Amino acid sequence: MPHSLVHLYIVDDEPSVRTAYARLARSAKMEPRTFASVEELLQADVPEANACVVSDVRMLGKSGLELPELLARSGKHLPVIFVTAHDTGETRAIARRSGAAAYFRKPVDDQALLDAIAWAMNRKPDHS
Amino acid sequence: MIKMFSIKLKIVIFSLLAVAALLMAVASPAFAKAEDPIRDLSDLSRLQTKAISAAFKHDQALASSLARQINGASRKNGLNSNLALARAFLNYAQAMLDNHAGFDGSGNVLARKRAEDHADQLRAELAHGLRAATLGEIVSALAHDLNQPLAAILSNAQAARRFLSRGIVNTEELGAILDDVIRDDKRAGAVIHHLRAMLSKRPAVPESNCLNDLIREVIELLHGELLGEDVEVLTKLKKRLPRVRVARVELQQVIVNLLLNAEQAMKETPRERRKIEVETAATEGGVRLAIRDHGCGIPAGQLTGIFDPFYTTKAHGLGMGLSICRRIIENHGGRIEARNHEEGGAVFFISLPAAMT
Repeated sequence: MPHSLVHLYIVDDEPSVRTAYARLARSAKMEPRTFASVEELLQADVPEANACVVSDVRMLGKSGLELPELLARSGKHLPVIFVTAHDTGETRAIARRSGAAAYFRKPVDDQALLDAIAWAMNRKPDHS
Repeated sequence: MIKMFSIKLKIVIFSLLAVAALLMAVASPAFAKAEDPIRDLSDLSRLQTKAISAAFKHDQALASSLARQINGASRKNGLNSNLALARAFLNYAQAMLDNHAGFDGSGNVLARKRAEDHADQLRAELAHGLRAATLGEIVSALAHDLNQPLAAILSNAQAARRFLSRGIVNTEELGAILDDVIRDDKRAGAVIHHLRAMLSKRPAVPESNCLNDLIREVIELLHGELLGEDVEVLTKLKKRLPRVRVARVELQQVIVNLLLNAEQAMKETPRERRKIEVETAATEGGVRLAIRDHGCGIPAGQLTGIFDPFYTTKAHGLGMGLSICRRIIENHGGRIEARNHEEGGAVFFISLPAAMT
């Protein structure tokens, strides 16, 4: 299946993490866009096709856990993958219920994350 | 009739219970048995009082079993309740410390010198206990604060690996990646260093310090914890603030206490209004620090009473070691006072003399 460019929307309030994930995305031939909050992503006009969201959980403002529902409500169909520094049983349970595509603890291994993104978008993983 | 053990044994029991509360909060699963139902924080508060009076009556078994039950319930309510328990124990211990002459039920006043030696030793233990009392919250914040730079470092390094594997050698980008890795590594190291400094049991030596630096470090340390409660800290730190001669660790402990108190006070405040304002200014002869919250405020008649060791508020807090904070500040030749802000919330003012160079 030919690869068309994957858009990765990175939501994290920590600038160093946003930068690092964006670099990882580019190194894996994806096109990243970064957002410092759930609100910023929701307010942005982002294409829905060939896209995936990677989001932190605990941030200033809305929790990332609200993203799947808020995106659905705004009519955007985007898979959401959580990567969190704050891993608890409760967080995992809520993430599961929210319909997240995957859930990782920080620090997340690059291949694991990329595989999850590919799986979430039903594409072949990129192993280059 | 209440038997009287030595004051020291009581303090030790209380401190052990406090530490046990924390260890359980941090490490182990809940032990709760369904004896007394704990539906809410006022039930918790009631049980804590029972546990304390059991300790008073030297019923260690009952006190321990109640402490375990409280800890189990506290885990569901979050770490703050365990902290409240630990602080409650420490406050009672502090109270006994301050009133040790009166606690000998027979009416004999302990020999003054012996009592004062006891008091100094126990004060040091208590100060350490209080530092440990914030360990639970610090550990939780720590996990968050370390995982962030670790996540950035890993993703940066793995990105660099991928670029290289694809034959993409952009020296500028790789240089930027390495710079970020170095910076994040140092940040992680600083977090650990601050933690160890705060937990160190060495007697604190006063040195010339800039209060603004101490404040910034504490805010950095509590970043994760405050974030978790949607609390925003706004700082107005006067540039070129006169230096003060203080024991760094003790002053930071006071600031930690006041910030966590402020956070607690805003538990019922709508999330978007949860702000703490931290301001420093130069005064004639020294410096002044003000910490203001937008919380429930202090009951009007209690503005000085809150610094007394016996002071407790209702269900949501059982005393936050303000008496120890006052002792630390006064030992440094300063003053601490509290007022209510006319637009709501409380303000704590600390004044300290400038360091004579």
